Amino acid sequence: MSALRRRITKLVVFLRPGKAERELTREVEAHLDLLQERYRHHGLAPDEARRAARRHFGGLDRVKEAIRDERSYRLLENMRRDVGYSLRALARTPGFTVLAVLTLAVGIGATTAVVGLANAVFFRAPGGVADPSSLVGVYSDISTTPEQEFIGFSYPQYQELKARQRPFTDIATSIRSSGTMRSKTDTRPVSMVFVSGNYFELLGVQPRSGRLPRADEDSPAAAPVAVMSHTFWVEGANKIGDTVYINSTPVTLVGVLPPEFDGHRLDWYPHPDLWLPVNSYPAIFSSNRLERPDINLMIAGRLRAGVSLEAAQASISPLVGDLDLPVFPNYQIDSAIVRPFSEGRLWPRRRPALQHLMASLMGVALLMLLIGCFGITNFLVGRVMARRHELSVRLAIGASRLRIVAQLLTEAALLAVAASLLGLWIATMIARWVATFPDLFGRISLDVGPILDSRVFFVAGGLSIVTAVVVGVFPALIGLRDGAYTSAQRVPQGTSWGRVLSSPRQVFLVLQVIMTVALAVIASLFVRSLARSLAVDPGFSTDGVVIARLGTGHLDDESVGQFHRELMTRLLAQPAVRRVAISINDPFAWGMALYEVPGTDETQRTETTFVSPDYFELLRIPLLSGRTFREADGAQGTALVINHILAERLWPGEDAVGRPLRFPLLTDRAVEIVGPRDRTIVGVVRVAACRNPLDEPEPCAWGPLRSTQANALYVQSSADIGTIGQLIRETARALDDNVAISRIRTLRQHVDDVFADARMAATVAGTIAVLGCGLLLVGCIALFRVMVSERHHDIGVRLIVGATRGHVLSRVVLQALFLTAMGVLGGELLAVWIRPLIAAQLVGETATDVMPYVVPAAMILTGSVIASAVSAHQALRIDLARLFRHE
Amino acid sequence: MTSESVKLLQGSLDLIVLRALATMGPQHAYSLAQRLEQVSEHPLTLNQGTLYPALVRLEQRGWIRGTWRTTENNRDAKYYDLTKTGRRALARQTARWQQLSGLVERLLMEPER
Repeated sequence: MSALRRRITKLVVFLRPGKAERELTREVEAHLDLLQERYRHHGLAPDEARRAARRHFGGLDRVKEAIRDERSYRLLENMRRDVGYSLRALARTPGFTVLAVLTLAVGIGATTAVVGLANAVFFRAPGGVADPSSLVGVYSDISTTPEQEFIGFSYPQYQELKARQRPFTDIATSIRSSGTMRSKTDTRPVSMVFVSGNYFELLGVQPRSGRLPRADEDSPAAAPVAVMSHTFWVEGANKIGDTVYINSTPVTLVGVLPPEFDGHRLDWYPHPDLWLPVNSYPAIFSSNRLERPDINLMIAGRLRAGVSLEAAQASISPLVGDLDLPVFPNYQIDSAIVRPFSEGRLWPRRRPALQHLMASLMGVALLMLLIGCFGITNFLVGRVMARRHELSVRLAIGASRLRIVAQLLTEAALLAVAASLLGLWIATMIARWVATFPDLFGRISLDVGPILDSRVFFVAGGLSIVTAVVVGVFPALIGLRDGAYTSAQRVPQGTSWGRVLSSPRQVFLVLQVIMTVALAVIASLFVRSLARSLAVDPGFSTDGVVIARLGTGHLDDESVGQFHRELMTRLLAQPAVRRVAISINDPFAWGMALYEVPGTDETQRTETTFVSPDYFELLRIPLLSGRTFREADGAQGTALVINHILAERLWPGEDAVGRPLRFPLLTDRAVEIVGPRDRTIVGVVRVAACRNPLDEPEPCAWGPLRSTQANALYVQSSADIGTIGQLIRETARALDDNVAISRIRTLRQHVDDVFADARMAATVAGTIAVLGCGLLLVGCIALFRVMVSERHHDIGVRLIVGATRGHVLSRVVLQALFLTAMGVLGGELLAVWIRPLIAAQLVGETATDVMPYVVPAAMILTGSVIASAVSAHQALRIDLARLFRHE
Repeated sequence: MTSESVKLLQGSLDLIVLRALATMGPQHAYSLAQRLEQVSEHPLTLNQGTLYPALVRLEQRGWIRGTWRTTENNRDAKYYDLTKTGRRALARQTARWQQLSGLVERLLMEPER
């Protein structure tokens, strides 16, 4: 009881120290008065009595300290005092404080943002679902390719699996698609998910208002209903009970989903607007595609209690192997892959590319932080050196070393805490900014909602602590060492000329230079790598090309071909239009196909898309041999154009034109196409990378566009984008009122959009790297000046004994240069040693590229010469008489 | 007084202060210090200020209570008095002290081998 009471009182005193302090002074004064009176009775004079009283009482300050120790929490009191002191110190140099906080905040913010995004994309379960840990994604795999394929299922396959599977309480299916929606107010493209009747129940999603589709509504006979995403409901003018027309089919809106549920997949931007029963798919899309074997339905399952992923996979694999695939006899599905839901936010095959991007960004962000830390450490070291006299006095009058270190660390900790708070805000801003890029790698959206969760806070907190330690420890140790010399003595002077690395400060300087050079080299390697990868030629010309997205979901395969031909003809008839082309997807949003390697029973992967005849000419893609497509190819459908990478891979050194290539399955995830499996190569073009120009060169193949759904319309013209956009809209509307034309922009803009995030990251990283290296450089220069200024005495002696000024100057500069050169050499060696560790993150980097190594070295060597020469010049102007007056 | 004996004294200071207040009634710090000097028989070796941490400690525990009053010589002084819990604590501490000192004494009396 008394212990508790004491603790409370201590806390009260800590929170309101003023009253206790005043009372203490009053009490001690009264005590001293009484003592003084006693000594006066002994016959001492008033002054002497007072002194005797103080002596008898004991050192006033020491007693007060002891009382304060007893009265409250010493640690907290000290902290308060340190914080107050540090705040005042930081306020005295607002420029440095702002710069330091900003530099660290950007580093911490960028790192936190990357961690947050990676966490959200790779590890976080989708929001709004119940018990996400037992949810899994089920895919099928084929054995003829070396990689795992993660293929979906057709509807009959799903039904068979659902009936026969054991490891899951249930499985549900979903498929993404887009169409055109006409409502009372407007006509717009709409993003949809078609789900089986048990989908929401399996996921445990409840409607926010209205209701979800009933199980009996998941039937081809039922009138189509849809449930709205929260965003769609909030931003649009549609209410529950309204009827909208999707691809001309009436659909009743029956409910709204909660805001935290935005579908369980991140690929395929934009986020879904509507969820419909999967059996209304045929009603929305004219042909009865649900029964087609090439449809790619995703399957989600909920594991029974106690069943592991591996057990589920082992149990379901034989079932998947048994599934009938009559259309593709050569295409053997033989096992299942089961993945946790949290990993299923992206199609698993997209993970590596995204992981690579995240790793690169992480490297840059951490480097930014590290450079920032070192720059600020340098500054603080300079500051501590300037305070060494004060520190030595404090040590001399009995301050403990721990107290001094704690005080010096406080400053760094304050900077780190401020930077972390700002950094969290910056991270949120970065995440929001990244979310505005709809087409990362063509199809992935990183619109993941708020990125900050407990895991990310943990990382940010850790970063803050590490930053404080990295920034604070070295200055604190330097301060302690310098302060340890009593104030009566000067800090030991450099040392004799000519001997290098003989003082700790010289060692520190060399270490600084090593770190500066190594970091600068690595930073420039990273920045150059990013810059290079972004300067990559997309592989085609964007000059004068406008791209628009076509929404023709209401048309069946026959009429859509007719529409495409008519649209292209009418646009070409316009005087401003030079060329028109259509491809089934946007640039970089390619499909994947498997081809049989001639002469083997192996299959391999190629990027695939389908394009209209003028496509290659419009984009000025260089034709290496053969020809591009003609009008007749579309009807026949057997022609194929491949890129030089694929040609070189299959027929090295020979002409590929005229050779056959067989595709066991030719399909695209976005638009299902089944064309002839046997194709003849008619042309070879030069395009290095189709899906992602940042990636390694990859094989690509183009088929002729047949009568099928297609997304991307390209128009090359001399007119400006406003005129041409208007022209496209009017022409399309004149042909078919239900066609939605959206996202009209220049092809250049589209390409920029796709890569803008990475380009911006490189710019920011480059700026920070330059800033950080600049800080380091300034720190090194400051250190030179301190070292030379400590030489004043030495220089004076030399001048007196007859050394010429030129001689002294050259000695100082040469020594600085020698120390720097040692550091530079060490830094370069360190960078060379580190480079292989980060080589995987460097794009297009060659070991012979010496610029990143040369520039930082040249900068710091020049800096050291200038700094030492200027300092030495100042030292030479010193007044010798004044310098030696005291000797 | 050696530093060791100071430490020993500080350890038992709480008990001494409680005891002094119990026998002498309310006292201010100065008179308590004088009392201590009398008892220790080395009036000038004790810094009177060392009493204060003990007073703060005891007051925060609620064993003594300080009130500002005027001395006979018409001066301001903070008088400390034992509280009820302080009396109980004194009894407890005294018993413990006697137990401990008895034990220590017996151990010290054992002949060395």
